[in-house]
Amino acid sequence: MLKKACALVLIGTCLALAVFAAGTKKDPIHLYYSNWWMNDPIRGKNVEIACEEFNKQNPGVVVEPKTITSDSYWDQLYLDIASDSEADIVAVDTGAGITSYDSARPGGAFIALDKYIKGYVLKDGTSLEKDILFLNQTQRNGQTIALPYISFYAANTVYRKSVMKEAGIDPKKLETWSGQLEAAKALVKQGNGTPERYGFGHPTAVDVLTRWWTMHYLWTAGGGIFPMEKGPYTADRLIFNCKENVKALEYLVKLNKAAAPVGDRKYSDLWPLFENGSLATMQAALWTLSNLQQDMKPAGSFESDLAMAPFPVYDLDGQKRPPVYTTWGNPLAVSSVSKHPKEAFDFIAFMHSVEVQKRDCIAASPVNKKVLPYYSKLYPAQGAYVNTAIKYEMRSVPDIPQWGQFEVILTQTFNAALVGAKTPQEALDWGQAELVKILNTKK
Amino acid sequence: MKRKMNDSTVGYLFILPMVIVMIIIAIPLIQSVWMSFSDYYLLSGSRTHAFIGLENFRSVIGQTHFWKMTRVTAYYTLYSVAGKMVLGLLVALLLNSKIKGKGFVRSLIVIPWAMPGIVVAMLFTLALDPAYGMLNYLLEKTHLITQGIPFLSDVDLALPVVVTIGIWKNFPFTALMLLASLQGISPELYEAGRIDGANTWQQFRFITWPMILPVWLIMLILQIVGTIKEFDLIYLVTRGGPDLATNVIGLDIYRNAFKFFKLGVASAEGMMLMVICFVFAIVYYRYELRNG
Repeated sequence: MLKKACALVLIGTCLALAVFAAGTKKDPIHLYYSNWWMNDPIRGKNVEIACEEFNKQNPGVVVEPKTITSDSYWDQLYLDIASDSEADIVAVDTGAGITSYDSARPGGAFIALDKYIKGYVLKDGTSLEKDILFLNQTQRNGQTIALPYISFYAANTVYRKSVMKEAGIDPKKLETWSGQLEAAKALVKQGNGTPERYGFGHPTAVDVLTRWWTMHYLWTAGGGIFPMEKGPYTADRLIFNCKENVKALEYLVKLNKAAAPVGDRKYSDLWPLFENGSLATMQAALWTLSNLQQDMKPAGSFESDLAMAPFPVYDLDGQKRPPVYTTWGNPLAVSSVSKHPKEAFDFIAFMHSVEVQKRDCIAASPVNKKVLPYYSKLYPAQGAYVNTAIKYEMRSVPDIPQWGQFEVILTQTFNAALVGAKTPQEALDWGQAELVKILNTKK
Repeated sequence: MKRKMNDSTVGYLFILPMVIVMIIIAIPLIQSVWMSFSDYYLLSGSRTHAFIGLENFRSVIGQTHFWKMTRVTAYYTLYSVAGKMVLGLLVALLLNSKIKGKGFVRSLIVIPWAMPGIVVAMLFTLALDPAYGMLNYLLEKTHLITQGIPFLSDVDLALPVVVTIGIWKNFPFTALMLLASLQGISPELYEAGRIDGANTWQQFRFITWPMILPVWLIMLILQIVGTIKEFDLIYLVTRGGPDLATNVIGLDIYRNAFKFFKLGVASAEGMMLMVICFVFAIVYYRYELRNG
């Protein structure tokens, strides 16, 4: 009896001690950061480094990146928001539309950041209010719902100087639509059947992200989805099957037939062809320069042989229209279901510090003004790219709740025309009808 | 009394795992049925989903590509099943005959069926590439063509090609089932037939075919149900393109659910597919009942 009593007292004491110890030890705040870069060898590594640095500087907070592939990120994000299970910190894309994601939850998927931004200065002296560009691009209903983080442009035309010289083509030809077509045809090197080298590459696959590769063709030709992509975004204002878009798509079809690899092509099919010399010219967005820098053959050719031309001037039918570039950013937002919004904001602010931005702008343009003077010195090709692009008009796709669905219709439209399943007019007429249906779907 | 209760308890314990699985399957199924009659649009920002009756079913039928999708699904199912059943039967007959190395061949034919769908999709996507694929290379080398054929991005070729890939992937299962059935036929029947003067075709028609018909019919129904709801292989190879030329109902459900976020419409489409599969399941069940 006495033995039983002693055993019970001992067990009870041990339990009490354990509970006490558990109660006094403070668990760190665990935040998840979702993005689609973790499988990219450079950008993924940079995310890991940034998280480690932040965690070291902020004991008591642990930020952990979530790995989601770029193919599935966008659909996954909608589903996560709809089920209130997205990460604390969410990377979005102004080209994919912040509005469409923010409106997937009543009251908004992301918190307003204005109260946090006011007076916030980072350890390196960066003032969020004064030193960060493009804060106005991440607003909804007059409130800032994300910090811009990094920005991009598309598209310049990249080529190899040696290839142009060997083919006897003046690179200036690439600066007009008619010249680009002529140059692309001349750059094709025939083999036994399949060409040894193609003149031009354009993504045609049905799941390619349209905003990066095709919208600037429509805009430069004078078309688009809505006039100047400005609101109100109502069905009666859609211009998707306008004659300007038809002309742009007809040109792309001609260019593809004359000089591009046949079949469904993603951008990830094209840049290896450019890297090994099987493709003479292609469009490149700012982020793809980091891929070329890694893999272009032979070694050293990225620095010595790569050159770029601005997106060409539209010069068909006796008209002359300057290029219109696509611009977008990858802002970082804080989820409205995050239990630690202040700490999450601290992390996204940290991502705008000078050192993080210097590292991350290998694949993008920085938004911290303090980094801009270093940009061209750190990454000469990227700096040259931006210096070319910023001379021209920049446009973004409409930031509407239905943008995700719009993109499905746009990629199908372009794919149908580019693989020859429909004529450009038929494809655009179909696309127009589908876009009207989407806008008329009652909420 | 105690022994009876123990027997009952043991019986219930045996069926308990199945009951748990049925519950796990039933819950999302019931939810899906409810969603098919509800206004379930993920981008509405609303968390309430009103009952809307048959509106989602009307939306499915009202899609501009509905009849094209129906034709594509019917074409895919018909030719894919026919190919699997006929090729499966021929291969089974071959493997049941006296040929050298049939043990080795038997193990080889399992490979397509055992390969994961993603591997098969990547294999064929690479092999059929118009610029760099093996098939176009061989056709060009033998001067049958002068430039690569875009098998997967040609509107007229994509569907037959996808059917062929489906047949290649799945005929081994049919072949193996029919082979097992063939091996169950007594050789004495063939001997008796030979004595009576039956030739090869007559032996097949009057001995082999009637003996394997029950298994063949079961395989037919299973293949129809499995093929009509095909998704992964076609999604991985063509994504339903080009221009919806390979957009079968399985892919359309995915599009409505995960591209357009119309979960109600997708659920309604899923219900329609379920009813079709259910009809074939009833046919199979009645056949089984009739044959004891």
